[in-house]
Amino acid sequence: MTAATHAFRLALLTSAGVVASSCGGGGSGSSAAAPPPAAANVTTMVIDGGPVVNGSPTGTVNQAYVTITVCVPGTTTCQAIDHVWVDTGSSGLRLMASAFTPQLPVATQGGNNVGNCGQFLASYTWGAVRTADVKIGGELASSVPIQVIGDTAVPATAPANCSNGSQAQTLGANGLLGIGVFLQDCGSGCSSTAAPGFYYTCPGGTCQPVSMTTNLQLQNVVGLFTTDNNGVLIQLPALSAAGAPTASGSLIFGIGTQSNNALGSAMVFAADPNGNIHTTTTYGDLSEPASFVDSGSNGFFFNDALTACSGNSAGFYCPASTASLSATMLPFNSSSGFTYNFSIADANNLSGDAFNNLGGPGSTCDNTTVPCSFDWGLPFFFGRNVFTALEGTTISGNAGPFFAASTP
Amino acid sequence: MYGFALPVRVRQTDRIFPYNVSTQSQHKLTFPAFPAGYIALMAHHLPRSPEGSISCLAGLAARCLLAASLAPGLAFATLGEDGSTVEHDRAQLRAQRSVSQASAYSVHELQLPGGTQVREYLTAANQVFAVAWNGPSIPDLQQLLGTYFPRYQAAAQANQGARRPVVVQASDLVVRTGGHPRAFFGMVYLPAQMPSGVSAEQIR
Repeated sequence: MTAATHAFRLALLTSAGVVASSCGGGGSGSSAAAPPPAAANVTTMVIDGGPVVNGSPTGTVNQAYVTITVCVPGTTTCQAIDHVWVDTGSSGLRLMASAFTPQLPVATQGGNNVGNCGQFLASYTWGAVRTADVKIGGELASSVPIQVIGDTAVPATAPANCSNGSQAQTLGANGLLGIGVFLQDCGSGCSSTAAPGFYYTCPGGTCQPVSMTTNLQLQNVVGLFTTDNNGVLIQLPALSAAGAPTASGSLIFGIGTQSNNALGSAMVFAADPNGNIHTTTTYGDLSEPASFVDSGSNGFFFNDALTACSGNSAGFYCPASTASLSATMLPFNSSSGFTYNFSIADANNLSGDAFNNLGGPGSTCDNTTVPCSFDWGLPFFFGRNVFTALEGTTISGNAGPFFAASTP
Repeated sequence: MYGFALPVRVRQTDRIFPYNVSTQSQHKLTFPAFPAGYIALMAHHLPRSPEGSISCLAGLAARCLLAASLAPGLAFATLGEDGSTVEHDRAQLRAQRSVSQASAYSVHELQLPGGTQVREYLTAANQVFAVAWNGPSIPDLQQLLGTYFPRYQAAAQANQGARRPVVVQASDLVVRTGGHPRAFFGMVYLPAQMPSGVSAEQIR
């Protein structure tokens, strides 16, 4: 991305006036028709290059953000936090300590502050567990355990069995809103077992894993809403092959709970207990049983013979000409799926912040020792309805967890 | 999430997603000594034997899981090292373990608290040539990879905290990982130290 295109992007950002929210009902000014009041279960999503640091957007690509409000529980001491990254591939709210000022109560166990580890593929987050009221759009989740990344209430250095990969000092976001298929970050695996990689106490400065009952674990805030609490619908606009400097859409809470979040004709893809669906690819006839749909991935990640980029786009694909591909998304327990077409463009030739044709290689696999995986990342979300249904729910006869998506 | 989407840099000189991967040279481990189904079973559904017990995989009576105490020469160890670190990994990881023996190597499985499974592959000479894992969390790879951990870290850190697979494809070290929170998997092996009969083959 050149300085010129960056400047172009900035100009567009300014003129677009990235909308934070439109809650409330729009007043009754003297101009013509006032916009209809936004539904309480909707908040605006933007893909805009990330938080502004030193006057410029961070420069993220295909990261979708919302603005949330965090309050000291039961009080009106609140702060709005912009650029919280929407992630349907994890569960739990994680905020950078530097992003807000309210003093939230810290969770303790046995008199010690509780630390939380968030493991991701190549990175981790580490910080204290604190409790907050969380407001998104018109929805409220009360007394939610969240992770505060970099919180001084726990030792600065993460335990060794948390800290594989690199510490996520900068997410390209002020936080991570994990609203995937699971209700908690760990679930029953931590409720009676001191499982490494999740919860710790650090008496004397030495951190050891501890068990944590499920209601005290990091929570998927959607599951704690009083209404519209069975999942989410993400609606992002269709994009041209050239991509867009910015994009704006909606994060809608609930599935089939309001007139704006009906499953409709979307196809339902049941997920297994690990949150995985199945994918088969027509090229190479590859079966990928560890697949998933993830708004927090900025590309399609899968294995193919496409040319991998080198240099500053390494990790993406850089085919000499745009590749037109298709892959069949399947429920984990069924051979009946839907084949989606998509394209992979040369990542080196893309300019902007939002793309429907960005992809990269996944992990190598053999389906014996290492399962194959197709990550349907954010590019999949543009131009269609994509639903993420929580575990334990049943929606129109479909048991969660599941993903659902409109066709094509 | 996969691909902790990295901040893409504005300057051309910045590298993003610079991990060492070649789609032209993907490898898979094959273990000709075992039926394919056995490996699949090993990888995903190995019976959880409490430490010190003996059990056998159904239909594969010749390949019993031996209690570690009955196989004192077999030890959990760290990648590239020998059996001198008997019990150390298991103790460090607070795991239960079981061992399966084949002619060319043995597989030592650690069942970690919380459900993650680790498998260490040892040559007949008692040297660890591969480590694999799957489960809700990523195990302590510093413990398991030993002197190879810095190279894993370097690959992981190559793009400033991005969430994406850690992949290394080098002549002496192969790393591949995948999954998402609560369903991770990965494998690290040393191509040069794999026993004969265990080969890395190209896939597709």
